[in-house]
Amino acid sequence: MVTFVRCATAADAVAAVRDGDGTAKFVGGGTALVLLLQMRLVQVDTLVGVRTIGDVPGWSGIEQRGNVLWIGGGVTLAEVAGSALVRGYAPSLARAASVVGNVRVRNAATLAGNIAEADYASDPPAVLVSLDASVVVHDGARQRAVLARDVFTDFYTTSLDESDLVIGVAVPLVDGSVSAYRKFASRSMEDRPCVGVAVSARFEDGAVGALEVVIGAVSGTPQRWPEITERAWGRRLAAPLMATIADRYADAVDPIADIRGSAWYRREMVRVNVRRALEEVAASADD
Amino acid sequence: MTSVEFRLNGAQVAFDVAGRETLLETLRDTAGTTSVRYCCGIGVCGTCTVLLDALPVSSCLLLTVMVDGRDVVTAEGADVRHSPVTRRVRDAFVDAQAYQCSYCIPAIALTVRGLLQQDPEMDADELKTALGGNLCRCGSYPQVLDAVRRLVGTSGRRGGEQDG
Amino acid sequence: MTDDATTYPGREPLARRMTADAWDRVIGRFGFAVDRRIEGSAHAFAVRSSVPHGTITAIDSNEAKTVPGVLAVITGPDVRVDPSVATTHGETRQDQPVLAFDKVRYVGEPVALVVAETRTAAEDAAALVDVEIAELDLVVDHELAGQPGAPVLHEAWPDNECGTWTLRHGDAEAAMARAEVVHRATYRSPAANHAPMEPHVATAAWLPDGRLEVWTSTQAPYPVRRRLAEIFGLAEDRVRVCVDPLGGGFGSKLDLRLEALVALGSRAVRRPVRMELRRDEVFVTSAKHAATVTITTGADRDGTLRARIVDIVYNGGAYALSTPRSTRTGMIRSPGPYAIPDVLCRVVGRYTNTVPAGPFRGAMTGQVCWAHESATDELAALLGMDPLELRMRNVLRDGDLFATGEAMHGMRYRELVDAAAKGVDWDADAGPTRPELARGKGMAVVLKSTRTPSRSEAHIVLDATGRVTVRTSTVEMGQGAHASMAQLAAARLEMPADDVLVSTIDTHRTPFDTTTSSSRSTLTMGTAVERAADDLRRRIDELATAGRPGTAAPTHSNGAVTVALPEPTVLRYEDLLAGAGLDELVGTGCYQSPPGAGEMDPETTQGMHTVSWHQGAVAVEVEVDVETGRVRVLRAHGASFAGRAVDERRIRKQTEGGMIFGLGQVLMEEVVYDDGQVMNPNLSDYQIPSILDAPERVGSTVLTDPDPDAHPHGVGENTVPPMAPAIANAICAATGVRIRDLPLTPEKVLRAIHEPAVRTP
Repeated sequence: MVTFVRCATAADAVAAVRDGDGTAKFVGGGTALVLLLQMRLVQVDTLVGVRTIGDVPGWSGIEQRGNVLWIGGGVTLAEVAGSALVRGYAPSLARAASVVGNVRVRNAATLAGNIAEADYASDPPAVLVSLDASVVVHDGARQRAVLARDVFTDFYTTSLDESDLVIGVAVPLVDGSVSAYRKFASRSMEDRPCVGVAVSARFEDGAVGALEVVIGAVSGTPQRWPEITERAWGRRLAAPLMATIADRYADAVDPIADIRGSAWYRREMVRVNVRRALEEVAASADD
Repeated sequence: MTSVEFRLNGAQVAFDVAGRETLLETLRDTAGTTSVRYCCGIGVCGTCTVLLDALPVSSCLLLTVMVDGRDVVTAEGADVRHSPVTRRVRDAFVDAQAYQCSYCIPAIALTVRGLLQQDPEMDADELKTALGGNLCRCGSYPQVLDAVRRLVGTSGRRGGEQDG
Repeated sequence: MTDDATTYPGREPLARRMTADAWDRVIGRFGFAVDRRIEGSAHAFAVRSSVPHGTITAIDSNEAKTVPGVLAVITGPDVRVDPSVATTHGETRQDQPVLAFDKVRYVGEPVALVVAETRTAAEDAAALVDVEIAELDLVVDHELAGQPGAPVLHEAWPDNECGTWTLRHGDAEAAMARAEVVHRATYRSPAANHAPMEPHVATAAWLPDGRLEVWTSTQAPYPVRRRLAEIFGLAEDRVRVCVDPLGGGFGSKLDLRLEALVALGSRAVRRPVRMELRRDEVFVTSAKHAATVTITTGADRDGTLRARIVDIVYNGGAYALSTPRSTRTGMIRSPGPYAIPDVLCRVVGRYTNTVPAGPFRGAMTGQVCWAHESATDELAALLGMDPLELRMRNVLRDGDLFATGEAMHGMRYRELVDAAAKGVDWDADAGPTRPELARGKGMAVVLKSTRTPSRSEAHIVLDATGRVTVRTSTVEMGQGAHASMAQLAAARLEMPADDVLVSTIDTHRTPFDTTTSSSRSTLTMGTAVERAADDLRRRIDELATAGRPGTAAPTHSNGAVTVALPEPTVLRYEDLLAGAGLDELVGTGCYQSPPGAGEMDPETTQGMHTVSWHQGAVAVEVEVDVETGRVRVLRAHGASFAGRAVDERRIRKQTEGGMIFGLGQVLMEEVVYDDGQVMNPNLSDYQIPSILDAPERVGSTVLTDPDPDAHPHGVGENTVPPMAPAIANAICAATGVRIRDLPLTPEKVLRAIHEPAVRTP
């Protein structure tokens, strides 16, 4: 028997999950959890509805808070994708949110839920890591921020406790930064990514001031190699440099093989799509 | 069993449902709204689309207990008098003969209607992209696009780069 | 029902609808098989084998029976000892049990059936039925299944043989030896799933006197009736099969599917029992035959085809179904629509531990068309010829002999090739594009045939209210058959098609039809309907002129006749019936293929294969991303010969929809097996084309025969098989790489582009 409790406060929600002792789960849009229930892959007695939480400032909103872009825990992927703020400040995140699942999933699923699910073949995690975003969680007593790159630890696994409620995502806003996300699908255009590439960069006088390249969908967690990208700092992002970074990433990655592509193919797609994402970023910097 | 109340096509309804029952099951098996159809069961095909608080969602990915107090509209939703968009969408699909077996079609028309009600300025390209998640095995896509173009014309809202 | 006219005065009151059901289809009120609810039904869920090949050693259903709501658990061994149920059944070979009892032969094979008050309870309980199976060696690959020492599925067929045929026309081996140019290659295609949007569904109910009634989502009402009668030892007339419209079939709903299971369940609980498949069950319920086709072609240097030798192996899956028969059909179509003096074709079907394979839109033809049309382009390359010119030179023309020895008539291939090529501006250069994108065009033709022998019967009923209803057992499954039948009847009675009803199928009321398959309905049932309409018209005329010998035949219009009495007098149909004291008037019509049609020499497969050849051509333009291997089909143009066209818009939907359906098997569809397990039994892991995968430009050409006495040709499948070779040919034109196994995934394309530089892992 599954019961559904609708929570008005974050503390209530956390308490409900804690009281469930492993049999209660947060549910926002429900797209992931209901699927697991239908497939009898999870045993859940209590669904803790968080859509109705009213005591978290900015729960349902996207707002600029100083030098941070805040996306509340109740915000759907469709809202992220359509937000002028996100499109302006973090276009790669708007792009990633706009290609998750389909229009129906994006209308129901929240960015917070997407993070908590930690699906390796979903688009936003790599982008959040590339933007150096923080995931803000409430544990019933207090809030804390965890860097996105420290959240994703394995396939469908995070460093968060099951009673940690994601109440929002904080994306740092950096002057002059540009970003891009490329989803590469190997079958239907509607497929989940075979490879996802998130790039975030800042340019100073035509040279790279900072560069992050994060690969999604190729292994359990978003993959990044700062030692490769840091070598670009201070240099112009010209074609040979982009090709070199792409080659190094292709060498560094240890891809899975699944129905969307073999390890060999994924490695090649990392090579091509890293280069193309860098070209995109370089072009947008020139604009 | 849990008692759930929500608005269905404008009328207040109440059902006793099992906790694990999906909205798709309630709508088909109890409410008799047979326009809402099972196909993939995992939210990828779109045949079970409903409008939840005016937005298209998959009813197979919602437990009925989760829609308590909310507003659900199905393709049957008889709001023709109040919604010119509904009527225009239906006419466009009939005029374009945008169906073969038609199992998927009410959901596609409902999705178009939901999207246009949300954003009346959507152009044909945007609607096509949004319809990527509505599968039609008969391949009636050219006729669906014809219906869409009858609705919103062929010129894109951003100056467009239409073919043909 | 609707208040269209009052709400929106001035709009056409759906006169344009033609198919009177258009409005219902769009708003969701159109009723499908899955919407049929029989009051008091219990629900069945199958326990399926999780082992591809093994011996059942024990089944424990005690725990399952404790689940609240469970009414019965029926196992294979229970059925085996029940003398009232046939141990095995099958269309061509009695090799399949209703529930597996000694061996299981594929993952997904029903082993037991749980019947419960609710579907959820049945599903929960089914998970608790413990089936112990001692595993046997398994074979999934059809080529391996034919090798010595391969695991044997059926003792009666020690070589896993499931259909062996030879076609011999002239002396192909000698002609090949003389040929100036010889091309030989092997082409493979995998198992695929039909993936109709509506899953299979059936409900059965036994009446107290031992009659059986079944409502089911079948394309074959009468064969299902016969098979149920055989399995349960009933006279056929004691079985009633009713069929509502289907949400797609594509061949997946032709053989017996759920009907015997729900009949077993219903008999056990003495209530109607319903079964509706979950999507993963659909994937283990029907499949397209995987196949390997080796084709050798001999030609003169000028491109004249001299000889063709085709060797085909089809993967029949675990049970025969129609494979022993349909392998021959595939073989006959395998030389392609070409005039080739010397032809030799050999086919064998093999049993394997996979989902039993059956007809798949373009039945048995996609596999061989993939081979002969790829080979045509490869040969053209060898000869240094334009592939279009090579086809033009060799396609069948009137009077040419086909490989079956038949002289062909009504051949329109040259026009079809021309129309398809024009549809993609064959000779125009590809527009400017980015350097990593390569564009190319490709084309393919296909020859299909309709099932022969076959029979269709129709009744047209004029009732006392003047209403005309066509009673037909042709299944409406999206092809628009019912709309076509209404239109054909209406034309003969000179009344609006919207005023003609078409009944749903009920074998107690709607007369015999072979099947709704092989694009046969418009020809066979259409002919029967026209004859029934003529018969009804004649009977109406008799009523109108009764007692007035010598009166000129009346004219008909809008449900009334005008008779010269001697003044022209208008008499409505209903008034004629009332005047004669009749409650109804019935016209009957029958189509029966001519004697001898379809009978082939068993040694050489020479003879008259079919009453109707289907002709189609497809041309495409693709864009290949040479860095990723991703293929986009930019344009697709299908051309089909429709004979006497009934409705051009429906023909276009079949032609264009067929290309989009076919695109899936080319670019993304494959049922993936690992150790006998289907790895992708859902629509996320097994993908079908979305609107974003469809070509940006889809077009069609409908060739017709203006002769009012010409017969209609089936058009439901003509553009499905050619899609694969057309796209492969276009990829080759764009990139120079040739891929011979489907699907043409980006990974295969990229590997081919990289080779030999690439290191394979």
